[in-house]
Amino acid sequence: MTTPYGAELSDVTVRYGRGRDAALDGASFTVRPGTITGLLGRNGAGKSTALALLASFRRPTSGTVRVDGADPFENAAVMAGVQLVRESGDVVGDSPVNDTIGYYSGVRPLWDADYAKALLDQFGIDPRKTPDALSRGKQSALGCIIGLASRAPLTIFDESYLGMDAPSRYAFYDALLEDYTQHPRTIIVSSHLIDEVERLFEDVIVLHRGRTVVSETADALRDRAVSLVGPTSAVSKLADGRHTLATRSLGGTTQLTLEGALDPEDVARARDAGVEVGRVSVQDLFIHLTQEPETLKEDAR
Amino acid sequence: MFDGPEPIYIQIADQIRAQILSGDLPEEAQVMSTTQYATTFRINPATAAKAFGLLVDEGLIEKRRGLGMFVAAGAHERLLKEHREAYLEQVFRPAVDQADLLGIPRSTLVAYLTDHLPATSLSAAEGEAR
Amino acid sequence: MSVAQSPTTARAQEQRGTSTSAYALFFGTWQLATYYWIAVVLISAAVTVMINTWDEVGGSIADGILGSVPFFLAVMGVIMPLGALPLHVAGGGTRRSLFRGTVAATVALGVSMGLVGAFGMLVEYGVFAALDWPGTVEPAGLYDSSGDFFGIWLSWSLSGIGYFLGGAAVALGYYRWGPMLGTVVMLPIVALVIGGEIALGGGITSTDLGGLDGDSTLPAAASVALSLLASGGVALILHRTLRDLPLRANNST
Repeated sequence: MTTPYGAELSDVTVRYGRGRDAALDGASFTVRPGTITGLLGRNGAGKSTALALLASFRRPTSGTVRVDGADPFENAAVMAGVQLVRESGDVVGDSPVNDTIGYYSGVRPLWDADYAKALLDQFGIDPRKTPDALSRGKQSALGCIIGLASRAPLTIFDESYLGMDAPSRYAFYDALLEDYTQHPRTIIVSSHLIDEVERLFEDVIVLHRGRTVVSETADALRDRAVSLVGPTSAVSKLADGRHTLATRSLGGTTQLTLEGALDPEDVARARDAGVEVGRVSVQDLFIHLTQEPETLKEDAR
Repeated sequence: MFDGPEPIYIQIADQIRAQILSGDLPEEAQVMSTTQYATTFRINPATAAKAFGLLVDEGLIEKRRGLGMFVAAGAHERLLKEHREAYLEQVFRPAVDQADLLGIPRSTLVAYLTDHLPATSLSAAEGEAR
Repeated sequence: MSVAQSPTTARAQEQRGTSTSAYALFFGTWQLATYYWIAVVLISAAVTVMINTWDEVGGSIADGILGSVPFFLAVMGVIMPLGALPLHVAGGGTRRSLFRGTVAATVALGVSMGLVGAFGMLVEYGVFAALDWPGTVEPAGLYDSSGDFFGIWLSWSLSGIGYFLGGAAVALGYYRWGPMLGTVVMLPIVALVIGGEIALGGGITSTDLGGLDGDSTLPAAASVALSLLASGGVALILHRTLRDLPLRANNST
């Protein structure tokens, strides 16, 4: 079995054309080998660009990209171990699914044909049909199946399951987890549906406007804030002297997002005062971290 | 699920400890493997492994090579003992200190205990066994 | 750098990329070519019957119809490699191996299509001879009758190679540089392909080079060499276009 790949971007800038805004602007992050890492960011933050760099779809304008310690671009040995699944799905649209699967099985050294067949069955895809003839959900599923069956030491899912309905998505997460535990590899998942996937992550990277704003373990990210809900007076007292990230009041009840973590004594004291202490979802943390000062419109969902 | 403020792996460990304490997970019973736990609850396997590592360090569960994870012998007793000690230290003692502060004599406390707070059958039986 | 990145792995992987793309392009094109040849046979037969009914058969019919082979291959050259590009790179294949696979498939396609065409001409030659019809063909550098099997095969193979490569180079040029620059890049490609055709003395130019060079026509060896040189030039343009080609974000080609 091949050891999982690590990946690294160092001060990477990508500009798609002269005079255009940089898609990535001095971004740096590290993906630890063997982890499931979440890559989050708003539309246009540079996620897809960063992932395309890792998969040798393009080269950076400046900066270095390293996969398994080497520059992946046109590096046959490294590229053999990186599988990027994009939302649009890199398949032959007007040819039977079998042809696309056949191509991947020819190029990918670790391709598991039996596993691919089982997954196609599971998601109800007839391999004699063409991808264009499949529903959007099944097209998405096909992309995900390719990612899973590739067994690539670095497998990347770039919003590739957004076309799938909720039951199919959860079936995909389950398949992903199961294969990950039995055949460890490095997996990067980029998604807007943060609530669904955040518990799968070991590490989280957040990009904003072409730069890295967060690069830490999911646990460390969740420790950044804590949620308090309860009688306004009690909540305000607990929040005294600490930085509040967000607050919402209705009647005599206040919900407050507090920066930092509470130690167990504070938690006990809060609960005694009738205040519910809970964690802040990664989704909410993400919204806070990527807020634009002018508009607080949340189109991260 | 796992909505508390503590890191998820701590919440998992707490949950399993609670199950051992309540008897839902009896001693010598097999516990789900970390991978089973991860796939069942859809969490990262490393998180599950961290929780289980914590419990193994505390001697509450043990890994038996080739068989899986099992609740250690004496785990229930140990947890019960810890909780009892914690109760006495953190709940009972402060209550008694408060009574002292209010000038309530010990005899009144004992009388209150025997007259107004009859023992439940469970604690009575354990008291006899002691 | 891990063990997985040894030169042996790299070489094996390049090989995988080259053969997968070559087979896919070759068989993919032939799936469509089968329909093309069926159509050619039917049309040739129908046209022959019609001309014979209302007029007189004055020469090879198939030669004219098979003049469409290069255009068919040019269109295939436009569609197939470009279609394979995202699949190939997403599958972990290098652009280098896609180039090699394309060249290999091109040669195989040129030779196989040329073979079928030459065979068809031979059949027509036999039929016409039996019916005592003339089998004259348009003047070409490497052959002078529809019975000249090897001459036709060689000529049409070389021609097919040029057109398929030309189509691929043009398509990828547009993909990379957009409509304006793509058109600029197209000009030298077209010039080279036509130059190759002129050297062969056949195809759309249909010169026997006697007209261009005065009295002497080109010796066969020179025709072949010039045609290969022209195709080589097109291959070079294709290589440069493909070498560090960035893939488009939305997978549209």
